[in-house]
Amino acid sequence: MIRLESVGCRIGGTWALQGASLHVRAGELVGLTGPNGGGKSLLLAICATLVRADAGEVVIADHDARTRPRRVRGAIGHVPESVGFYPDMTLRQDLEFFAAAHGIARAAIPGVVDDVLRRLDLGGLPGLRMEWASRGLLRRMALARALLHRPPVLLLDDPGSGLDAEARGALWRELGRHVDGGGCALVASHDTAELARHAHRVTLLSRGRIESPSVAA
Amino acid sequence: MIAASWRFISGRYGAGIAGLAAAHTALVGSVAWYVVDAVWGSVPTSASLTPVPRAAFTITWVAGTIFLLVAAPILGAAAVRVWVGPDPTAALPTGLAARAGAAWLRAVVAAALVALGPLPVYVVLHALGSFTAQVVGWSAAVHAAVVAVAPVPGIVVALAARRGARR
Repeated sequence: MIRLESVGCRIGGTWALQGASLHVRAGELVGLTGPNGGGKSLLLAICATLVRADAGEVVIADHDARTRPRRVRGAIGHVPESVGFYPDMTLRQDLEFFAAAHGIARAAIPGVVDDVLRRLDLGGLPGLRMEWASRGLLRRMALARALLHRPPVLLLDDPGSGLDAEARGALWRELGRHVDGGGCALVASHDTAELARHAHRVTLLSRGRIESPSVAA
Repeated sequence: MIAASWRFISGRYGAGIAGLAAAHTALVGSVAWYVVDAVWGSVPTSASLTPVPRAAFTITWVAGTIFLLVAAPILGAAAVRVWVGPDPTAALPTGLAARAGAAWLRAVVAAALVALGPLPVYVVLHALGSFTAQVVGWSAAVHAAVVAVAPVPGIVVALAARRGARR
């Protein structure tokens, strides 16, 4: 589902990512860890088609990220490191907007949104405006957006940061349900111990290079 | 789509749109008043009033067009939905064109309302004989074109500024 072959990316003339190869199959949850600036966020941004690789091959859900970025975007759920939001929308309006943007039929949107709100324990907050959402709540909303359209591939950049223990539990529970259902997930985090507990494999990325190719957790 | 656009733009900028429509009406009304007064002021009080010349409509209409050319880009910029932090739609299948299109539709709805503000003034000028029904077609078409095209620079500038702000 995710296939990276010798991927390289230059930022400001230097190679921020070099020769990165990684395969994530259906039903797999793979962790990505490493020091700050190691290239984790960049690797996820390349997979999400937000940054174009300068070398190598990036194939997501059988679509080439360079030539078919829109197809890739339709097949992924992406939680970025920093979550952008529309301050004037409520949580429910935000999710309805993203559901519509993913092409979910208008009649089905309320049910889909209710389901995601319930699964992520956001059911009591649908009327809260996004501008008042805490950092942890924003991250849960980002995960809710990513799950709305049931994408086969999840790309999550530090999804547990700012979450309390209960919300972290809900996060890993949802990721487990996703991969059990045949999807795959690539999760970047500094918390190697947590990744080791939940991921099938953990890959170390340091100074733009994959140092340990997918050690079984 | 139009109803949703109206809900968004009226919710955030309803007072601004009403203000622009009022200013447009005031400008067009005062220009029309000035021109008609200048024409009829020179007619002896004993003589019956002649129809207002077409120039009265033309001058008024040009003033209204200039106002719309100034106001529409502002409405275009206001129609771009403001976000905080990185672009939340960056990884969606819908591209920048879809977002610009939605903003354009909102801006057109708002600009059309501002353009329609002075309609009663034009109706009065028509009743005074300042223009014929034939003139209505092209003058309305020009205003429709202004409403459709003039918001675009505002949308482009606002989108570029928002995208720049995320870095």
